Amino acid sequence: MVHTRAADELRKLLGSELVSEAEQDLVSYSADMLAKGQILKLGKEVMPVRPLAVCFPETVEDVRRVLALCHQERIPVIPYGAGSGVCGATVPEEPAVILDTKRMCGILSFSPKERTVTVEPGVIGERLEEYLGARGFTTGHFPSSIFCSTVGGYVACRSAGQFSSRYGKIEDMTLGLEAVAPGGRTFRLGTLGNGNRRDPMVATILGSEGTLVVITKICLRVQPVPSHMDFRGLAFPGMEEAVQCMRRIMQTPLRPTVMRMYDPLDSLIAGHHTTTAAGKDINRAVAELSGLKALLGSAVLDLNHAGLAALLYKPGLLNRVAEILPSRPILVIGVQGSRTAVSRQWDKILEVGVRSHGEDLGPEPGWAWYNRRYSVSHKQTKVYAAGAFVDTMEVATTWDHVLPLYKAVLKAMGPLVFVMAHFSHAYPEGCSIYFTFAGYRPSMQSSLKLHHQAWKAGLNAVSRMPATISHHHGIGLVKRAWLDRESPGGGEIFNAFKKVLDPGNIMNPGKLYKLDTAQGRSGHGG
Amino acid sequence: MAGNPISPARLRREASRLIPAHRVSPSESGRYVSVVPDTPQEVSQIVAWASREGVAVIPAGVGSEKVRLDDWYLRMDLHRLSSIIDYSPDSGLVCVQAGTHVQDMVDWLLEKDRSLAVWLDAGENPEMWEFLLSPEMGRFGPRFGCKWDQVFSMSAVLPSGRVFRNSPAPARAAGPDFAAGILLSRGRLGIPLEVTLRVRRIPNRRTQLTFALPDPLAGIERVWAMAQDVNPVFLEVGFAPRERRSKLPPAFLVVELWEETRGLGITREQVRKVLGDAAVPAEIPVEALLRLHETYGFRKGTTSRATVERATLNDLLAHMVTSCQGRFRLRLRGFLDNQVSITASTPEVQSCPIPNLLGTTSYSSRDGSDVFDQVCRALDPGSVFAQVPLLWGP
Repeated sequence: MVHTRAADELRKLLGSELVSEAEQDLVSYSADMLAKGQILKLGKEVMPVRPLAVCFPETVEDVRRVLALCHQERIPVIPYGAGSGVCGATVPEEPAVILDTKRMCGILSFSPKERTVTVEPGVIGERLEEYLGARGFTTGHFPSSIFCSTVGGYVACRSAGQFSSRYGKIEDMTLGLEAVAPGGRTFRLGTLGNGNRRDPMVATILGSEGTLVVITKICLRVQPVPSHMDFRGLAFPGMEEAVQCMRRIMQTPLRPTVMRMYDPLDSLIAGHHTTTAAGKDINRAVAELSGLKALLGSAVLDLNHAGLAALLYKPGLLNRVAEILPSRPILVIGVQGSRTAVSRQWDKILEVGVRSHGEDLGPEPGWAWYNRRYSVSHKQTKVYAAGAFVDTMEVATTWDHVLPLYKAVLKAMGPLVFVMAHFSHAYPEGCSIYFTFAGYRPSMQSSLKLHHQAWKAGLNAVSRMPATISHHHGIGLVKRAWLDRESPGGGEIFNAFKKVLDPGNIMNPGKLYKLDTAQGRSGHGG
Repeated sequence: MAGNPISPARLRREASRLIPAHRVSPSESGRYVSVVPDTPQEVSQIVAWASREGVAVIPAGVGSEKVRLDDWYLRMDLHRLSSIIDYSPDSGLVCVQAGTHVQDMVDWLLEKDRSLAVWLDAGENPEMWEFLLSPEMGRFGPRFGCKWDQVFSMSAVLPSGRVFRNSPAPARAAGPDFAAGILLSRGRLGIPLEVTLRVRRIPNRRTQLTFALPDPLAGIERVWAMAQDVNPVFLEVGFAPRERRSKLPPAFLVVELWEETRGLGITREQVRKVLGDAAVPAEIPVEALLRLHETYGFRKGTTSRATVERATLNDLLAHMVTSCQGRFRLRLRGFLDNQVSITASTPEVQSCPIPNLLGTTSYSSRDGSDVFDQVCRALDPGSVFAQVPLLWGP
C-alpha cells in the first residue's frame, strides 16, 4: 500500500471521525513540547516531517487493528499521549501514523483494599488524581505537566512527579501493563498477567518510548491521601551545606514528600528571598534579571524583550554576575502524614537542618512553590516572545557526585547559555539536578545552532561523570546520541526485543538505540 | 549448540589462550573445562569466544554439579572476582564484584552499622551473582523491597561477550531497564560482573515484635493492612508442624521495625492498632526465632516455593487450615505489592496438595515469559547462557 493512502485504510478500520488528515492536526502532531519546535516558530517554521494521519482509537481492539494494518503495510506508528514531552520522543522523522491514546481514557477498576487502580493509557494525570482523591486515595504522581499529560505517557518515558521522594517514580508504582505489539498480539504483563510487578517485560516497556508496543492498560499502586501536609523552607550558607542536609534527611527513615533545593540564582529568580530584607535588596539590584521569572512561568513582570535578549546574548557575563550575587541556596521541604506524624517529622528535619547550618525560613517558601507548582508545563514561557529560547535538562547522580556534576555542567554550558538549577527528586543515594538554560541569537538558524551546542556541551559533561543523562524526561531525539555511552550493551538487548516484538521496525522508528542494519524496513536508527 | 561438538583438548587449549593456563583445568567427572577468570575483561573474552564457537558457559556455584550437558562446555568459576570495589557511606552504596560472598559482605557492612536490608537464611553464603540470579534466596520486607530492589547499578556480560552497564544513578528515564531483565532472567540474558548495592544505615532503635494469630485467616488480612500502613523492615508469618512447635504458637507473626529514637514507640503502637485483636502479643524467645529455619524443617524435594497473590494466598490458607489440620509447614514473607513469598511443605502431598496451588504465579507473567524466552533466544543464538537456569532446577 502506498503510505499516502494510510488515512483511507485507517478510516475503513476506525470510521472517519477517528482519523484526521486535517492540516492543523498534522502540523500540531509533528511536534511535542520539544524546544526545537518552539525555536522553529521564531522563524515562522514548524518541524519538517508531518505525520501521514492521526488516529484516535477508542478500544484495545482498535489499537490491535491499527497495528496489524501498519505492521502488514510497514507503516511507521508513533503512540502519542498528550504531547507534553520535551525531548521529542513523539516527533516523527519520517511520515508516520500518530496513534493518539487520549480517547482510551477509562478508569477501569479501583481496589481500596488492594490499593490498586487500573486505567487506560489516555487518562490525563489530573483527572486520575481527581477520581482517586474523591475516594481518599492518590497515586502520589504529580508531574508539573499533570494537566496536559497521560498515564500512558508517564509509563512510556519513566516519568517522575514532584512528590517522588515519598511515592517514587512511575516505575515504582506500576504493577502491571497490557500492551499490543505490531502484529496485533496483546500481552498482559506483571500483575495484569498473573505475574509480579518485577516481570522483566514490565521493566522493558517502562521507558521504551513507543518503540516496542502500544500500552493499553496500566495497573498502578495507590496510597491513602495523608490527612496533613506542611512545608518549610531552609536557607543555607552554601551549596555544600544544602546538599548535605538533603542527603542527611533522605538517609533517615523519614520520607519527605517534597525535597527541592534551588541554587542561589534559581532561589533568587523563584522569589524565595523576597521574604527577607536582603532578598528584597537583591531583587531590586537585579531587576532586569528578575524578568527571567517567566522561565518559571510566574509571569510577575512585563518583560523588557530587548533587555532580556541583550542579557542572554552574553551568557558568560550573565553567569558570572550570577556567581557573585549575594544569594543563598534554598531548600523547600514538604512532609505528609497524620498531624502527629508531620510534627514528629519536622522535629527531626529541623534538627538535621540546624546541624547542616540551615536557617528556618518558615512555611512560606514551600507553600509559595506548592501554589504554583503546575505553572510551568501548560503555560508557554514568555521567553520565546522575546526571541530567546529556554530549555531544561534533568540528570541524576549519587550524593558523592552531585556538586561535581553541577559544577561540570555549569562550566560546560555557561559560555553558551544562561544556566541555573534546582535539585529535586531526592533519594537516599542521590538526587536529580534540573538545569534550566536560556539563550538568545538574533536569527532562528543561529538560535537552533546555539541550542544544539548547549545540549551537546551539557550532555558531554554529564556523560563524563557517573550519572544518568535523563532522570524523568526520557531520551527522545535530544539525548539519543548519548544513550550508548549511558548504557553500553543496552543497544544489543534492545535489538533483541525489537526483533521479537517489532520485526518490521514500525514502532516509533529511529528512537532510543540504533538498530542492526539488517533489521527492520531499512535499518532505521538514531 | 548441538551439531557443533568441541573436543576437551581444544576447549582447554583455546581457554588457555584467553587466560593463563594454570587457571584452566579439565574436569575429571563432567564434560566441562573449568576456567577461573581474574577480571571482568577476562570473563568478557571467554564468553565472546564461547559465543563464536557455540560453547555453553555455566557459572560454577550452587547446583552446578547437577548440570549435565551432552557437549563439552566451560564452567566459569567467578570466585576470584571477589573485590569490594567501592564503598560510599555518603551515598549509601557498595560496589562489589560478582564472586563476592554475600554473607561475608553483610558481615563487613555490619561492622560499619550498615545493612543490605535483605537477609540470607541461616547457613547460606552464596556468591553475589548466584544470590541475584537465584529466584529463591533472600528474605525481605515491605519497607525496602526485595533483593532486586537493592541493585542500584550493575554490569553484566551478555551472551555475545559484550559487557552491559547501566549508569550509577538513583533513578533513570534513559530507555528500558534492561538490568531488571538480566537479574530476573536467571542468567539467560547475562551474568552479573559488578554490582552496586544500596546499603542502609542501621538506625539506633530497632525491635522485633512477635504475635500469635489465633485465627490465621482473619489474622492474615490484618497482616496485609499492617504491611501497607506501617511498612515494616521485615515480617514473617509462620505455621510450624505441631511436633516441632516448641515455644511457638500454631500460627505466629514476627515483625521487625527500624525507626529513629522517638519514632519507634509510635510505630509499635501503630502495628498493634492495625493488627487489632486478630493478633495477640506473644513472647517468643529469641533462640526460638533464631532456630526458625530448623523448626520449619524444609527439605528439598518436598518443599514448594512460589510468589502468590493475595487472593491465591487466602485460598491456599483456607485449604490448608481446613484440610491439612496442622500437618503442614508454611512460611510467608514479603507482603509486598499484594504478593507474598511462600515456602510450604507437607508430609502428605495427596491429602494436602500444596503443589497444585503453588506455582501458578511467578515474577514473569505468562505472556511476559513467552516474549522473554524469544528475546533470550534472539540475544543468544548460540545458546551460550541458555543452560544457566539449570543451576536452580527447572
